[in-house]
Amino acid sequence: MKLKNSLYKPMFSHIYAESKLIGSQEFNRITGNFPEAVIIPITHYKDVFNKPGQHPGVQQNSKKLILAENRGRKIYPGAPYCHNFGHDSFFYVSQILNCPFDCSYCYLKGKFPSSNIVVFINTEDYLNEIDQIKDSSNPFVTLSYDSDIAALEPILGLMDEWYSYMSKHPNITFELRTKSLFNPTCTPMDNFIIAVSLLPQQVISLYENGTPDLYLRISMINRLIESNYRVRLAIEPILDIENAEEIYENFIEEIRNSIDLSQITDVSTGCFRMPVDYYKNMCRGLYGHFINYYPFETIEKQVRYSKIREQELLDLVIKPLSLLMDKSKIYAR
Amino acid sequence: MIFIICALKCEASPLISTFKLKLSSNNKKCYQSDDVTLYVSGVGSENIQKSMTTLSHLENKSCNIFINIGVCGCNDRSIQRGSAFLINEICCDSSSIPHYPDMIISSTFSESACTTYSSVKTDSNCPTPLADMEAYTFFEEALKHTNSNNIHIIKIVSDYMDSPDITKNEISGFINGNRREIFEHVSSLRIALNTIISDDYSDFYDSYKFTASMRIELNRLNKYRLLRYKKEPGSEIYGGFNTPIDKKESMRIFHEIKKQLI
Repeated sequence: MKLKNSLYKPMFSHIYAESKLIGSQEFNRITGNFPEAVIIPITHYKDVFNKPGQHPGVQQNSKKLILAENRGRKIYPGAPYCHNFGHDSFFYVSQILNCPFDCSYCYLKGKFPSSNIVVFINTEDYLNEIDQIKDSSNPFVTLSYDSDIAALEPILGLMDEWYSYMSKHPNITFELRTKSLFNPTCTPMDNFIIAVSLLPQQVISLYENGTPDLYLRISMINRLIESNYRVRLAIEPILDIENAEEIYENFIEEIRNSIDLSQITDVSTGCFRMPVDYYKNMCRGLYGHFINYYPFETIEKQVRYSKIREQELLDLVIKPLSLLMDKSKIYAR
Repeated sequence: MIFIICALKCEASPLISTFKLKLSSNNKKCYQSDDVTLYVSGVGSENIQKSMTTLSHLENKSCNIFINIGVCGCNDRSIQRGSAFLINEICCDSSSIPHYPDMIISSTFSESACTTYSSVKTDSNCPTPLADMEAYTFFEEALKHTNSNNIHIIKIVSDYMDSPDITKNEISGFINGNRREIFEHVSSLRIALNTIISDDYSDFYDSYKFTASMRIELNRLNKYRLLRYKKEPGSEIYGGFNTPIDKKESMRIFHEIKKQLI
């Protein structure tokens, strides 16, 4: 009998690459990190990523890497149900599709037909497109929207070009959200915010498969603060778990005891919510997570907890945090 | 169910004994055990298509595995006859769109791309190292009955494309030489298949006369309970109700069960 771990091939055992990228500097840099990977040339990333009949729940066990060039749109307006943190213009960049982690509640499971990870390696084209929105009013650009770009940075090395761009465009605020143990290689910048996702350890253990533990993320936050980086705490999605009251109370207490909240740029929080179409796709994906079977309500084309339960859950985080930091720094949705 | 499709009887024979299959009483090209069914399709795309149309009754897509096992030609003389490959890309001489089987399950097989031709390949001018006459159609037909991760193609080099002479005994010998690896691969697929949760509450649903939409909702809640509380709902929730005499009573039982599941 094989153990589950040896039943599946390791992550990125196969790298699919658009033929014209093979041999490029970026291709060589990335594939150099996987000397044993099988490289399969393809014509277009959608030949693999959008192929029919995929079972994303099974693919989670052995994700593949797809290297591609984005020839279409690269920057999109931010979704209305996401925080804009007081910025007039909110955009997101989708340079990577899908994430190395496997979080039960993640909307990516409903957004894409595959669990494999697409990386668009033409970063320069992204920067050129950002140039077109740089004169918008008070622009805010989130880089890690459809992925966790920081978690993949050690193998992809995409951020250096972004850091260089950020340093030359201080009027644009960039956010990079991560659950990984991120070690930025740039100097701190006023227009660069690292948003660290934090949830109780019980939630991490049960529903954030493959992510670092809470204490490790807290240590990273403290290192980032000490090095003068701007840090945002992203306490979302709040999930309706058993003993939620006690678990979130202890969680906020742990944050209070281990992080100097006066040094935190701000906090974003919100309950689990997802566009209904994504949720339906996610359930079809047969991931086998409890969140796929929770009796949610559908309100304004979003799947979410009942209004009463949502407020109760939000209060578990907002009320105690409001006593610890300036209320205007807490963005709840 | 695991379906193995071979083009030739001489390819199938070693597998029939490996998996201890018995000839089906109503189909002379079909051999069966409890969880393995082997079809001898005949050579070429048309035969594969015909053979797989008999499977149109299959329902639960996640629970069917399809494996095409057979010999192929090779254009690389450094590859020995008898070498087995798991196919990771399938091209076709009559289509520009390749197929990419998911490579998820660990395997001892080497991997290769394969091109499917409509007639026997007699020269080595082939874009991939391997060439056969079934894989592409097999993949497309199997995709009608299962998810792409459940489709596997194992090809064993029997000859070189520029000298395609081979006897039935040699073919059986090449398959036989890879029996152990094939058996191990199928065993891994069996384990992976068994990790998928089934929806087998139909006896309860039938006895309480639940409608299709009630069944769908309860299937979701059963999984919710299993995943959240690590406890599969059984007779403690579904038992204890009398057979309903009317729709109203059936609805009452449904709501009662729903309440307990949440």
